[in-house]
Amino acid sequence: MKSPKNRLHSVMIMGATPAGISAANKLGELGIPVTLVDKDTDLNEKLSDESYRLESGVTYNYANRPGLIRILRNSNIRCILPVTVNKIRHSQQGFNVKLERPQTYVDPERCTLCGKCLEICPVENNDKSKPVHINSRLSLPGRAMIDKRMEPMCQSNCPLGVNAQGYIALAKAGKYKEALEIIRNDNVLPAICGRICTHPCEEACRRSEVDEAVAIRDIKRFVSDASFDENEKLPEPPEPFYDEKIAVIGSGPAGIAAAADLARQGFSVTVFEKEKEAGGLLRYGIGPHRLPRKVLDRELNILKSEGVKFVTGRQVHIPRDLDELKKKYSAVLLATGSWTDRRIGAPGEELKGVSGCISFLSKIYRNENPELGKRIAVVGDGNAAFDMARVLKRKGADVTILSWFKEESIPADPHEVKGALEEGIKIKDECQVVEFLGAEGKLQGVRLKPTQPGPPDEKGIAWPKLIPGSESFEESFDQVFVAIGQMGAYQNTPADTDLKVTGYGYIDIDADNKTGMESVYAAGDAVTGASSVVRAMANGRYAAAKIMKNLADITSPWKIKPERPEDADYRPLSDILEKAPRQKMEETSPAAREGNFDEVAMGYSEEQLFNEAARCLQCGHCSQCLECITACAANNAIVHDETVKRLTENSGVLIVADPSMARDIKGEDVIRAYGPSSAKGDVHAMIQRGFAAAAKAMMLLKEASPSYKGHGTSYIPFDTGLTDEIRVGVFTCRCNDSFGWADEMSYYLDGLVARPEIAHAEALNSACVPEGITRILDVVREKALTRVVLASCVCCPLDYVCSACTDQRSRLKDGLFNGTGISRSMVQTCNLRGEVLRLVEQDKNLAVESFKGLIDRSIGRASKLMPFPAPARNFNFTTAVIGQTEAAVTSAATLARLGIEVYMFGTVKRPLKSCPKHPNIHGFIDSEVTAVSGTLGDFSVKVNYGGVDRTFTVGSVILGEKSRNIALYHTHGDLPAKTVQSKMQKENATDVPFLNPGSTSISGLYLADPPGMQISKQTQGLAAATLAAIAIPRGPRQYRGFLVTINQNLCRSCGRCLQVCPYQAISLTPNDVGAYVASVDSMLCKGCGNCISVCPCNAADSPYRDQAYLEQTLEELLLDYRLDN
Amino acid sequence: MEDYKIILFCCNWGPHAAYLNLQDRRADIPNEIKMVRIPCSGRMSKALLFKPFEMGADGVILMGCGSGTCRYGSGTATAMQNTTETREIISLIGLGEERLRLVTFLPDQPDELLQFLKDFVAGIKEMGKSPIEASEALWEEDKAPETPEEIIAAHDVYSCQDCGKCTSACPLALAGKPFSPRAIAGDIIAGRADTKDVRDSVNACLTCGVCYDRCPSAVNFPEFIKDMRGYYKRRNMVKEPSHGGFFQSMMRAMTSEKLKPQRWTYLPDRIRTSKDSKVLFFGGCAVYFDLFFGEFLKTKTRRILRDSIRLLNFFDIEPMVLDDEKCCGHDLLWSGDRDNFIKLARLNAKAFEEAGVEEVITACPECFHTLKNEYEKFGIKMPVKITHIHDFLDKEISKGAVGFKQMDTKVTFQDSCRQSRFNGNGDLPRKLINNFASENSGEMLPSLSNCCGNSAWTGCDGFSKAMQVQRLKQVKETGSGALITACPKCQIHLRCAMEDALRGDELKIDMMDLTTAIADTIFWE
Repeated sequence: MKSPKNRLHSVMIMGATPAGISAANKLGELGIPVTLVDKDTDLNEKLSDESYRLESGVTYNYANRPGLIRILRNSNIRCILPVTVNKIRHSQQGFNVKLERPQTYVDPERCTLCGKCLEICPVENNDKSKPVHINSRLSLPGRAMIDKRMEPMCQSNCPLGVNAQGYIALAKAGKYKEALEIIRNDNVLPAICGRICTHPCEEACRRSEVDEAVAIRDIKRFVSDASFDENEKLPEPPEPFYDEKIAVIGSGPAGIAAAADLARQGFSVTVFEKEKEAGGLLRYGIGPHRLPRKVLDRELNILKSEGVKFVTGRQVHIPRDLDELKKKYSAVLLATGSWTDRRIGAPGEELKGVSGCISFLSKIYRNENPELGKRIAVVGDGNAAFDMARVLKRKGADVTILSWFKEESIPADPHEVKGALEEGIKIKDECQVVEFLGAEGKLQGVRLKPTQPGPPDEKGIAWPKLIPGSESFEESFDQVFVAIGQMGAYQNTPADTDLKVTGYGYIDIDADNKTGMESVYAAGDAVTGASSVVRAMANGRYAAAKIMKNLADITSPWKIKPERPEDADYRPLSDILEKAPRQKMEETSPAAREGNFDEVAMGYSEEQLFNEAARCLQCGHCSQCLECITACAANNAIVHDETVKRLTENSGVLIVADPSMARDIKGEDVIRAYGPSSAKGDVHAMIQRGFAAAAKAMMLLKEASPSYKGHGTSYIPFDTGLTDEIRVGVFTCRCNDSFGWADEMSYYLDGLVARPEIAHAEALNSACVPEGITRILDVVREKALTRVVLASCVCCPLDYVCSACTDQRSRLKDGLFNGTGISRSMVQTCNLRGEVLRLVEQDKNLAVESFKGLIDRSIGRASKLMPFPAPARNFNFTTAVIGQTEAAVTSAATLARLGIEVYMFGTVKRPLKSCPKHPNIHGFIDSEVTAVSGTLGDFSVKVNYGGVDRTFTVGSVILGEKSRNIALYHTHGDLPAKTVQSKMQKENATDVPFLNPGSTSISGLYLADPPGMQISKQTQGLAAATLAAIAIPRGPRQYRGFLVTINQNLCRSCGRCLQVCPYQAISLTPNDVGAYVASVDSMLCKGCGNCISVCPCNAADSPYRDQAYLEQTLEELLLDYRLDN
Repeated sequence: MEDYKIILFCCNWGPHAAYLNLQDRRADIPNEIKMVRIPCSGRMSKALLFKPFEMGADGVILMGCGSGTCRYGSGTATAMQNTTETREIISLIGLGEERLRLVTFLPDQPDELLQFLKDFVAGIKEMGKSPIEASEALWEEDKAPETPEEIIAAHDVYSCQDCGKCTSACPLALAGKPFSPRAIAGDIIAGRADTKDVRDSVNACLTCGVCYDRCPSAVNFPEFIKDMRGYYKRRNMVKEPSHGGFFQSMMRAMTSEKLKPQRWTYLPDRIRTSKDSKVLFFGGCAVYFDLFFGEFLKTKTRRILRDSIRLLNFFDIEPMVLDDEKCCGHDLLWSGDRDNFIKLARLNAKAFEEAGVEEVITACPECFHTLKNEYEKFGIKMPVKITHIHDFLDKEISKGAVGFKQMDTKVTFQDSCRQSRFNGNGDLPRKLINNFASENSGEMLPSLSNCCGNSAWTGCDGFSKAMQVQRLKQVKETGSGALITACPKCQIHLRCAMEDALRGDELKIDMMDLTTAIADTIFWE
């Protein structure tokens, strides 16, 4: 036998079923710390399930909305949703539970459910679902949720990590500027890459599993061009933040990308370029027909405005000049590219007429107009070879490509091959140059040998091989260009310098992209050899990140991305309805391309753009475009970098209300609040099980809980805020402008302060977030306001919850009234959102007029506010248990164990025979109870004991035996008995108020054996014990409002009120003139006001929203317009 | 475009949740709907259900929860009772009962709720605008004294000798209420008119006139009180009278000329009326009382009208009745609302003139007093002779040839203040009673009986109840089997006193109006 547990004073409840909710509420009311966990995200949604519909026809979420709201507001109850339970272990302190809370990416304390995130979110699936989701305004907790999946493969496959899904989603929504911003975050050359990027993103695109990859590059091009405004004045470059200066040598893609990152982070960056103009390979390696120079200039200009300085026409000799540079610059980045053409190594390569590719192209782009022959061959089959060929063609030459591969297998982009053929370029495939032929040092032709595919390598590429024993043949050309790649430029670097180079002539670097020379870094093709623009840029950014880390210890924002769950798979492809072809971009006709370098590809039309963007599968669901962050900027409720929270919770007691959440835990001290699976659907039984579980929990914790004996006082604190002086503050909530707002409303508020009684008027962006609440509290205190008009979505300031209350409403009320010293009675509320703001978009003038009316009415009423009553009452802590059924005996024993004194009595004809032995139980053997009267905290039990009639005073009463015992209860001895209601509501059954099972219409009077419950007597007894134990207030209470008061001068004791009151809250007492007058017991009254409507002499009324208030409201609603005229 | 206004009283529980759902999703709730949130549909009294109509609403919806889902159990049934009665009354008043609806919704039925609202608005638009137009003030046309000083002067209250005879005879004071006409006069003379105590006392006065009878200086205290109430009313210092102000509200509604009440729809076929008669029978508001009080008091005040015309027919008179007869305005006048009283009086005077009759007979002492005496005071000339039915009956019976079945029980008569005191006609009803109960009359007090306890629906409270109980006990002590009344309100108030949670049947006694008693006993010899 293990030693008994030394339990923590806390309870964990697994499963927010009606049982879990009931247990949590009761334990929380007693002040026991409770943690309620559930796998669902929303209590309201969960409990609106049909299986929780009560017999009355109301679903549990509405029927017990007060209970659900109180769970969120009770500081003793921590509600963690959603969670998965990973492990539950017994521990010496009770239980140790490991939980995992997946991300919702929204802070429930700050979300106002305004819906702006939903509105702005550009992602929409075929089924119209969006990654941002709001169940309803009734959600509990009231927050939006964001559904994210793993990172989309397009993004993962982009060397720069550009969020393609994000900008495609925005592009589809027509938000080109925002889309461009997303691209430029990670790629500062969007218009350039939109034309010439090798688009590895498209290779990874999941759409190709359906039909073809999305044309991501073309979308990027559209977005960049569409956002460009020729007349836009670029901002002045910002002043650098850091003192450190950085020099970048080379203004190609790597240098530019690095420089941009450094400049954006606040460094002073200078890019040195030996050519006349900046751009490197982009300008001197790529033709204007692919990349128009004005596009290049445009992007460079933007970079200048972001702080990158370019010094052109300035050759830096490496390594000779580096020492000099380092004197001025804290770091130097070498990004000089790879400009040396690779050679074939065949005989005759030195003949005049044989040249490299890139060296020749750069001459053309420098406009040096090199001499060209007529018949020209280009050796090679990569993109560069085709580019070369097409440039030569534009220069008027007859061009043949000599390809190693078979035409179909040419590694160059098929689009290139097709373009070349269209333009009249010939391809001689499956051949290899074995010798350059010439005379007098001048080329005349080449000797070729046929090739065939070799065995495939590990990547599946069948590299061609010469066909053994095949015949060579000759072709004659005036000129041959060798376009088979490039090699390093630093082969001739002296060995005595710190700058080390590789065998291929590339700069040697370490993992930080640092060269052997102190403070000198290198990146791009100069390091990696010829790659692609996007890879070179990525390498440049990598180096830049290292530089800023080493210089200033700051982390580059690159690759700091919002969180995505790693294991949430993409939505299945089966969700995609139909195939849609990729949009083809228009190009100029081949004939029109001849002899000029005009751009060939013409870009998408807006319609094409939309169609293409619509093809995106939005794999990550949330696209992380972060537009919602903008929409929610004021409330800051969206947390895109939320991580999965792994929690370890310790609790003294474990209540399992949902068995699926705790399958493996065994042990006698695990409290199970669920029935056999056959009992499903009986919500009343679930509630009783919850109450019973609470009793068991209290018993396990009893050593730690204070016991109550004798009697105590409970009171409602007196209102202090409401003085005679009238200083009104008007606070309106714009609800984050989610329904819109009219300037006229602001003007109206501004004008209010001219009125003598108005001390303050203000429109808050959102009242229910901490900033809003604090603001109101501050102003009330600073300006000593005595009346507050709160125009938000809150309908009443009372500590009263009806089935329409929301998390936001109660949160605001809680923040304003809980422990702040601000009294509820000084606040006049009105539902601005529901009454006025909802009209703004539909009819602005009507909304403005309604606004003025509502605010004026509220101000008028605010000055007439009355203090709430502040009664104090005595409460007896003893419970009487009447009857001796198994359930009644269980109740008595349970209460005794909880430290509550119990009197046990018998009933007429069934005098008490025995009772459990316990010091807290006083059994009156052979006693017979003849009548019960009174109210919660103060019941009188008339007992015949030992032949003498005696009266006992107790705080609560549990009736055992059958419910006919209810007839014992009489409020008023002289009046005909009225039935105490104890049935559960049922459709069409009249006169039954809403009750929890085991309760009756008399507060404080409970049934140990409620009729019609399909659960064990033991459970019923425990449940009744919980109800009785918690009924007696333990401290100051809040005035619930709405309760009825009776003007005793006016009362005629006609008794109509008695007839309609289902709670027997009204009793008649004698007055001075020999008549009787009615009075209302505030413990029994629930505030329905039925008595008010039948009172003939206006004696009954409610101090909150009384007859005069309702009349005034009607007058204002109906006659206002007349006053205006 | 006509501007329709519809009040929606929306219970906090089921329908409010559904309504908020509509607001939150910006559903197209018709703009005509003005929502007022209430704790329970059973909270809305008939007065509050009617009030919007007085203020020009075109429709009223009371929205609650269906039976079995009412949070408080009894709300749906209470609401049903209140709505049904109010619907009957607005039907009678000429509004059309369809303008008021009680409906129930569950919280998860927003769509059904929206559809209902649209249908209701469409239905109301089909019915057209409400004929009631919210009334406007007529201040400048009212020539009555305005300030307390003027009022004191007008009624020569200064001549009060402070003797206290009024207080010693005042039924309210005798019932134990701290109330003294002398003290009120003194307070107002001393400039304390605006204090709450004085105001409450002025409103509590029964205006029965006992004090005036007793006053050696002949200060007309009821008239003084009447003007003081007007003063308070104008300063908006008057709380709604009993029953939530329902009757005053109804009368204010009747000041709209377009409203055509249909009071006579209940008359049985054998009752004969004529469109060409030179005699008009004016019924008064007794017709509404059975609807308003029926549930609890089982009043039968409609019978007074039916039996009065029966008696006219009996004496070969087929009177004209006004198809759209309105109230005389007595209760408005006596609760201080002179503006609306004057409007009603003008409409009535005009109606009498247009009807071309020479004589108006009424069975109601209030109508009689008001038409005969009060209209003139406000400059409204009555073109016709006003006759109380008792006078008519006395004249006819004295011609002979009629006999009476004798009643087999002792009876007691309850004087009407407006008849017996204001018009000094206390002997007439007694004379008429002697026709059928001469042997059995149980009248204990030889002169005038005690007040019924209320007037113009003001001042109802525990003391008026005590007074009524006292009066009923007196009647019981006489050994009478029935109490004969002359005013429908005496009947209502004394019946109300019989309704007592603790006394049970102790105070119950048969009650009937004198006209009914005569109609039931008279025959041609």
